Amino acid sequence: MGARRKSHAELQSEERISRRIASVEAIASIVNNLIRWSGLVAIAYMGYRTVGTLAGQTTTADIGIRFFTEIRISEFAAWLLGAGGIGYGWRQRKLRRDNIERLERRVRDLEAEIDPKRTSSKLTKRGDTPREDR
Amino acid sequence: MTPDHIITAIYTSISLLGLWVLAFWLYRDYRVDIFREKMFSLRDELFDCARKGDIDFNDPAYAMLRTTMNGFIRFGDRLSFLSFILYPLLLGPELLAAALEKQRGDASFEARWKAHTGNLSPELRDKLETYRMRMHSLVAEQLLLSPLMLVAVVPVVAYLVMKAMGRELLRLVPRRRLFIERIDAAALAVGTV
Repeated sequence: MGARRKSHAELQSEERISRRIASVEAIASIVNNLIRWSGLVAIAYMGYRTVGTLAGQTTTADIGIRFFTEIRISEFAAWLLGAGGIGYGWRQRKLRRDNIERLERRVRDLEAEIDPKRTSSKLTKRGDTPREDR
Repeated sequence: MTPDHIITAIYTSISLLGLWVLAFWLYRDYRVDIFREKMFSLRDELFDCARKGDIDFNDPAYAMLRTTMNGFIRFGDRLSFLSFILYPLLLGPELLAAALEKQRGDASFEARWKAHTGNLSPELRDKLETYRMRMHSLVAEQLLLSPLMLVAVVPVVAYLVMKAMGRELLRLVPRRRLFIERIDAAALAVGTV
């Protein structure tokens, strides 16, 4: 049985909605990108200003230059980046294992319905090597 | 300016650049992945609930909740505080009408939800409400932990909330309900279209 043909009014309504969706997404995307890229522009600009001090165009008294040349801030940013990187990697690892655990159960259940004698690799539910195999 | 200053400035720039990539690229993608993973997990639980026979797969309440979850999964990458405001404001009524094109009238998401769950047993209704509440928690978490919110807005909002705590906070509660209803309607619509 074929699907019901949409009326002209319904198609017009769908088209109008699709346009609205595109508009909202465009606005949100522009604003989000503006905020995101302005961070990069700010970093690049301050780097440029710092180099400018070499030519005597600005002085180290400039608050932005002082921020960039302050050793404690530099160290803090480096530590934050390191800790953030480790945290990111650790969370990604957890996410991957959570995903394996969620899918493993469903695959096992569904395959067991087709093949009750289905064998297993004996890995843990989270995809790790079992303790007794280590 | 001494050479030490220049080296420190270069190191600071590199670290800030790294933090920028971490926050606005890697963390952002991670947030989308984890949001989808949690929403998939919740949807699986709902599916299992139906598989056990607690609710029929053809029950409109089940279909409505699953479709709304699908909508959130689908536009999880676009779920930001800005879209949270724009979607319900600009699309709410029309998208809802399109999503429910086969039905007549312009009942709100909440009214439809109540109509669909009204005939269910109190236990099952509570169960579905819990799923819906958990879905909202995931959305709230995603909005609050987005890179922009985390970096720019959360400290400001936390300060303002603390300042206006008590009476002002309670005053927001009824509006929150209305806002959630609108975002649900948008997710249901996106999941259906």
